[in-house]
Amino acid sequence: MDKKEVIARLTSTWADTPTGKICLRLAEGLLRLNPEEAQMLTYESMLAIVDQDRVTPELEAALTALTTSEAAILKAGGIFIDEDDTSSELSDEEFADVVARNVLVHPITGEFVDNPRDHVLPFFSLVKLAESAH
Amino acid sequence: MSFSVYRISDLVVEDGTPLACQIRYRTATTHAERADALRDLVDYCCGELEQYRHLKQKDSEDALTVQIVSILKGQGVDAEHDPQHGGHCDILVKAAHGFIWIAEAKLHSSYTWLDDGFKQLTTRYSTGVPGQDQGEVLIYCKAANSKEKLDKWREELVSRNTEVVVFDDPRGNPLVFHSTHKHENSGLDYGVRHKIVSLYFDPKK
Repeated sequence: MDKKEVIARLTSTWADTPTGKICLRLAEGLLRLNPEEAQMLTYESMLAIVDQDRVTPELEAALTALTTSEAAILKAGGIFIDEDDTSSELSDEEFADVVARNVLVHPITGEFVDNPRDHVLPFFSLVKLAESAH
Repeated sequence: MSFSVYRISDLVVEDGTPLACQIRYRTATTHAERADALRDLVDYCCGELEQYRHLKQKDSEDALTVQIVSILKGQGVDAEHDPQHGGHCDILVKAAHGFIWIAEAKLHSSYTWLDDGFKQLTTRYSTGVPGQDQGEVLIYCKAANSKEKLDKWREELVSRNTEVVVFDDPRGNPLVFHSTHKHENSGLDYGVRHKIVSLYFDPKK
């Protein structure tokens, strides 16, 4: 799926919903980013793209749509920050365990982390899309 | 590199909230996890109908289903009502990686009507292939004692579909049960959650 197809698919699925407006605005902004910018997108990055100062339910819904739908352009990930401020990117499975069960084995010590949801920061990365045909 | 000031604990304040379910849906690494998170979002939608059941007494089967789809879409879920998918199924949810989840929604009237829904779901709309091997029968119950109706449906389901195995909800919800059977198309196990939505309203004062 290329950028045009993504926008067309999102438009047909979401255009008539409250989520749709912010979803399309976010998608258009994300698809203009250069590859370096698109690898570590925070909630703050998303707020800047849609020119908002707080995370709203509509923004969360748009992030869910852009992460899970057939036209998904985002992948969700997590960064673990330990007590020494050392950061490590979690695998998809580790991140899913933190989200669903609040369970994480420390990547260095091998011990269970106490309440890991307090130490994991979410981020998104843009998935690689096909080039448009010319 | 700059990190977010948000932590997962700021977003998942409590398990089971719609946002917590959305984030589980986003981060699912398997179709089973995806279906599990989606079922929790459906529970949230049905809870909204139950909470406002006094306003739902005149709503048709389709009207109730449209409300569920609308709430799901409000959570960022790609849900459709009445799309063409081997016929017109009631709720179709699509997600990345070929995930498809289908629900047949029926207003409780007769057990033949519920069995029609079960058979439509399992033999007409679903493929039963991996990622498409979970579905749901949603029963809108405007009569009193929905637990009794669900228990009766469980008995009827087994007697009308002898290949089906039923079991209690692993999370202990008494207004839900599950069934599994070999899907005719794929030959793989097909799981169905049977959920009753309690919409009886007859205030005595």
